[in-house]
Amino acid sequence: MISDRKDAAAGLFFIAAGLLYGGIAWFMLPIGSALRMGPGYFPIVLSGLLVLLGAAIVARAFVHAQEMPFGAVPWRALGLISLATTVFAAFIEDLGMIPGVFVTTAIASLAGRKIRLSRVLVASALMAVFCTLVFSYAVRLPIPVIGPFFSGW
Amino acid sequence: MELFEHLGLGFGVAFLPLNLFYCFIGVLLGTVVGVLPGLGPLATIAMLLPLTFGLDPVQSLIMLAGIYYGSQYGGSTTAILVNLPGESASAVTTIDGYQMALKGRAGPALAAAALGSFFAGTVATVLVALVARPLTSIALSFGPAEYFSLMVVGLISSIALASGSLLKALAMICFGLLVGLTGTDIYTGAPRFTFGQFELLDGISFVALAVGIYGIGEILRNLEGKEGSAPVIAKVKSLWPSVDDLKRMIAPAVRGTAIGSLLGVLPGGGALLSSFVAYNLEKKTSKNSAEFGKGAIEGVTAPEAANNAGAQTSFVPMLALGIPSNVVMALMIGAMIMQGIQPGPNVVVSNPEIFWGLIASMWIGNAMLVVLNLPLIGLWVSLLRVPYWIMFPAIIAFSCIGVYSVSNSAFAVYTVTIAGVIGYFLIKLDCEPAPFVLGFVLGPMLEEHLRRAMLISGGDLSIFVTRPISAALLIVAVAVLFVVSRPNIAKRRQEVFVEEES
Repeated sequence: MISDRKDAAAGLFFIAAGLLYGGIAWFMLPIGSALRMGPGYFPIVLSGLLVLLGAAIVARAFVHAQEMPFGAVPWRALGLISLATTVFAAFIEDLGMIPGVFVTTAIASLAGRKIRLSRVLVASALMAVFCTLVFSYAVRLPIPVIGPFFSGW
Repeated sequence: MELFEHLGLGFGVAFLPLNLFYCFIGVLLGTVVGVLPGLGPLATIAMLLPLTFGLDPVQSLIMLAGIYYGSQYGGSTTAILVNLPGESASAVTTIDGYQMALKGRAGPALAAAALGSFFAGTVATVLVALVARPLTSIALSFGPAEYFSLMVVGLISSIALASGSLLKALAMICFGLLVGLTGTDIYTGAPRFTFGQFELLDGISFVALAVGIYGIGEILRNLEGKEGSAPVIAKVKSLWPSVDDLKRMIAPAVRGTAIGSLLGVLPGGGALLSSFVAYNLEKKTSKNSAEFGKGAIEGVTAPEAANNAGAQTSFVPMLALGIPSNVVMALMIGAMIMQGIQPGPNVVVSNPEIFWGLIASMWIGNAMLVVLNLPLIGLWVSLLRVPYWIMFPAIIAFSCIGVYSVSNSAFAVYTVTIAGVIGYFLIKLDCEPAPFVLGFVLGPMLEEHLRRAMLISGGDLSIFVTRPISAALLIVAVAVLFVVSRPNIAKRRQEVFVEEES
């Protein structure tokens, strides 16, 4: 009977990561010898260690006494924040600083709890102006203020 | 004396008007970061890196360093006034600091924190100046075997700082080392662990990784619980401590400084550990120990002096050896490389103005911080009223802009997202990120020195134990591992970190 599911999950994660990296190193990279180590040598040693440590953590999960609660996961926040950063990455060059920051901030704001749309819009607009002043004009980052997406209009 | 000559050069550099200006900006930002809970120095430095692009190396390092030690000052303000550590190293200050505030003695508590920190900062600056130079001469005689063993010591001691289980911390180190190896192999040019992404040929961006784990991860944890109501902020009446207070501050400040300076130099040490050790020592040795937990001024002075001293002396391994002692220093190394400076023992020879200028600026920055923190306390208190629903979207926007500009690629921003989500779940599984991050930074260096050592020794592993310095370092690593794994020590560590979270 597993008495600590958190330990078990962590251990399994480490085993999986070790197998993935170790597998890549084993099958795809030259290993070489101790004298002339190939690119695969050190990763295989590390992966082996990682798998062993993972196994030890899983094993301990069976004897470990108490389990601390995992706690709630804010799935909505997780999704919205990932979306915000992804949108920024994908579209900043096309949108430019002002629209890009506005959209990113607005999406991220929705991850909060008590959301009021008017507040979100005003705060995002202010944030967009502030970032443009600081990063486009003061620091002169090479992100356009208004991106090419809007230039056709 | 040579030292005065060097410090003279340093102050000459640090007092240049522009350098003073960037030092001021740094400590100002640091204070803000320290005051705002949920925004640590690491994430801040990472997302503000683009601000330093136009600066020369001295200016940028002075500013980044200012953010780091400035955050130690700011963190104590919230610890005392609202019982919330703005920065993890101030966690222990909440115990007696907030009690003093409840008794209407918030002013003297703030003064004790600021003056203790300033004293510690002054002493630590001199110490860094004294120690760093001789250490670089030793470091110049290091071969690959010594560097390898030194990094092993650093990685192992980072476990002492991680809460929770030893096995998980060790696994996180291995995982970090592996992820750190992503990119082109320096010897053969073979791409490793790039999963077919050509952006990964240069490796995973450390800035993106740090922003993901410490920025996004932290936000997700804050959004777990109920959004707290506005914190109750203690009123500050008179700032000035009484003569009796001042007398009671002296010895704890000295002891805290000594502990902080010592632990700061150790790899894996730094501000957080220093403040806990200093508090516990004070509690045991003080003649007012009965007052601890009920508002003893010693309980504020000692940990604050210790965390500031520790923050300062953690620059020593970075400056002298080019090896980061904690994750903030790892980021500083990244910043130096971006400025075209290879960190390591050669910096002091080839760029003395950077080396000594940075050290001198730390003292100036500390003096600025006392002025910033005491008379302007009202301003910082008002920062605490910024609601979280404004803060976290702003942090996300800044992070995206920062990471995007550092590497000029959208890919780095995707890395932030992935690192944030994975980091968040690992933290939920009680796997501390610090050993992972340190492993990530040291991975390529560790491998390079291992391979070089093997080439020198003809593939004979005994090189690590036959060379005296290397052997001594490995013995230290084994000793640390042994001590940390002792059941009673493990229990003590648990208690310390549970105390921090409560």
